[in-house]
Amino acid sequence: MLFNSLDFAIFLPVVFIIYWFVFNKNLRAQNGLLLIASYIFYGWWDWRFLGLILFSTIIDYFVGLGLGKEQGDSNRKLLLLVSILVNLGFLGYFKYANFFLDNIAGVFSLFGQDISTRSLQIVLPVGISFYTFQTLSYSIDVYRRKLEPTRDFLVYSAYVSFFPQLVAGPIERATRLIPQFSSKREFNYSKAVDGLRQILWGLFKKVVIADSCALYANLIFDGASDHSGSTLVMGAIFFTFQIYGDFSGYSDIAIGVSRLFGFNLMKNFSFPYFSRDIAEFWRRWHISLSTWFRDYLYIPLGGSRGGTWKTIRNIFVIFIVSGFWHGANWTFVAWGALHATFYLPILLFNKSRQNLDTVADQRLLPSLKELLQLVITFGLTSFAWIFFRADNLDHLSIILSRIFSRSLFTIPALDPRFDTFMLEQLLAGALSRLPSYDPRWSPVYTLLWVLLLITVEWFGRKNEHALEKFGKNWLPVFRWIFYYGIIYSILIFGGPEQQFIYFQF
Amino acid sequence: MKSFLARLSLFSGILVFFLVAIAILIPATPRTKTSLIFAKLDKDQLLQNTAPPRVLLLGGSNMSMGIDSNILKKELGLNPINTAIHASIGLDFMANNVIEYIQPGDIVIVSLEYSQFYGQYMYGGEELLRTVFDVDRSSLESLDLRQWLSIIRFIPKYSISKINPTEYNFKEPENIGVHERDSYNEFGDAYIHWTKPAETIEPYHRIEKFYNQGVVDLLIDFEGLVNARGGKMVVTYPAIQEDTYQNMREQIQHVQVELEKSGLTIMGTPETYIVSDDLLFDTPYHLTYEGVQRRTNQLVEDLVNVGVLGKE
Repeated sequence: MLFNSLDFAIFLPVVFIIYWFVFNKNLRAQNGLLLIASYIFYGWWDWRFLGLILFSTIIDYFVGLGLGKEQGDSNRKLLLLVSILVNLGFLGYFKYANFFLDNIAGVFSLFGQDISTRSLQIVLPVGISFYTFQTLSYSIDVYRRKLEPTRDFLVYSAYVSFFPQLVAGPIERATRLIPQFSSKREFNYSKAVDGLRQILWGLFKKVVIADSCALYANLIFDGASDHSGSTLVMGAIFFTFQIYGDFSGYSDIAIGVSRLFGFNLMKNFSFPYFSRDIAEFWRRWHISLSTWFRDYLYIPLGGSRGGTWKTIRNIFVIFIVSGFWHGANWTFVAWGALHATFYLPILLFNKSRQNLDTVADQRLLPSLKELLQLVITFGLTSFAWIFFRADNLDHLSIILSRIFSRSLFTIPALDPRFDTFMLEQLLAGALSRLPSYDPRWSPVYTLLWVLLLITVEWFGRKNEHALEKFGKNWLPVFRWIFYYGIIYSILIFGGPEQQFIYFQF
Repeated sequence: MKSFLARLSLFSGILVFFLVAIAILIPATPRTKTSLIFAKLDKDQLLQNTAPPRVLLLGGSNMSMGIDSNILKKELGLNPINTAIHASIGLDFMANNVIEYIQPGDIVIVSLEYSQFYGQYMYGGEELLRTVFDVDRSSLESLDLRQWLSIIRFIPKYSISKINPTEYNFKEPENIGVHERDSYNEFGDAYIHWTKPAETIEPYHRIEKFYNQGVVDLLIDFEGLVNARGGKMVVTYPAIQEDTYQNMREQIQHVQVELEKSGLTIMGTPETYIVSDDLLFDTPYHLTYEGVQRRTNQLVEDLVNVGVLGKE
């Protein structure tokens, strides 16, 4: 079930009303309802994979109980190993099996050995990377004795499958979410209203920003060889906003929906494009994943405590693994490695924690220096998104070779249909007609929406989400008009419906 | 909680009120007026004015974009009227609209897209909503509860389209497009695409909805009404892309079984009307002119085979 679908628009109020009106006084019934709702929500895509979640839940529940009882180190390690193998085994099989088979065949072919591998027909279960990491964090935290294992199977299974964040995060820690399932929840008016505001802004980011930008990013990148370098740079900028709108929009909706049910999820995005360096960017982008890797990979590897070379190694490991987490493709590995390279100078000069506050903290506008820092960081991240967006390494090399060519210095085609290269192709008969076009999604409109996004987020950059305090001092009638305006933009200017990008991860 | 729900209801109520008001009060936009659903007015005129002996074609766009009535006229010696516009108008409305025009001796050929037999498709969708609100408000009275339930979910999108600036800031193109009111010839066939080349078409996936027996029941009732007015009705299958046929094979075969045991006069088999990719225009049901010719000739042959009429 998609957040931006009619199905969800019916599902959510129904669950909300039963939750607060029928089961208000019964915590177990509320948890049971959330569990059933979560399984319906997930099963809407493909009910067959419910078994996978259930299996993973049962294994980690009993591993947790075992870890709680066991005192011997070797037995505890063995239990943790079971959890890791089961969870990473599923992830490895569903997500990476074909990648490894193809690459093994590729390596053999380098030595003249032609081994034929047949790609397995594997469907990637939606959200497997997210809930796998969530359950793993539980087992590891119980192993580290940072968390008492829960004996309540209902609470545990509701924690694993909680529908707002099940398929695309935030990846919640058990230490934070399980206690919320175990304690009575009261309806809180301000929290619920704020949740609605966050849902509204999340929908705007997904439907208006991401889906409209996707139209152009796809058009440009799918025909990369037909476009000039400058147009491809435009494509990178569209994609930069597409992926932000898509993923942070999803997180906003997830967090907002959770607030309607009395839960607090962790902040997943903290206005990352207002970062002054790459280190700050990574403190603000996909926070739940970054901190997961920090706590369960970087620190166990030694973090920055083992000297310069070990730190550099650890930085590369964490970024490359993080890249690989996104997908079974060398482009993601390259994307991770590129970010590690960007991060390295900051680390070596010990500047990784120099921008811990919010940019232009007590001012309306940034200083010239800050503006320059923002632009450079934005440029670096946008450039890295090209690696992320490329279909494969060949596609990436086409894009980069076109960008780093003379055509970089031509005027970019604001409407990629009228790119000079496209017109040449058209005249040469290589294309039968220009792609279809709806004036609602003209690049000019899209850029105006992006400008609105930047403005609203700039004013809200110190808050939990952009609309938390935006317009709070206005007369209610004006605030409502603003909200209706956002709904209008969602209904009119929303791009053609696209799947959430992060579902594929 | 009460205060939350009260305010949320007020906020949503204002939104719904405006959406419904817009749907009712604002007439069709300039862009909509050129759209294919307005062809209903022209096709109703054809139904009213075409002299017997007549052959009426009923269905979705597989009919409008898949038949050359010139061939029918020449081969059968009948005056064709292609009433088809869009599948999403729904069989229920299509049949209801045509029945009042049936004259003694009319032959009605029904060809429905397979999706029509599944879910609530037969009761209509967005195109029906646009037809009854924009094109012919008098037909609002003819909608039954199931049709209303089927179209009501499209009201927000419909209303929003009326306050979309691009619907008004609109210049009529110099050339007639493929899917417009003016894209139909004197018989009601869509013909603008006849000069255009085949396109690469993504096949449709299998239909993920439940079979709806209501379609065959409605066809049986409709046949009764046609017969009562002195006409005859036959059912045929739409031309369909081979890959789409393979994806939907199970559902298509179910439709075939149900039609064959219904007692209706059925022409051909679904397999007879499978077409290769080089005969497709812009969907798995829309044909290039070569495809149109082949399908129309097949239809003529099938009509002769079932004995509804003889070839001239």
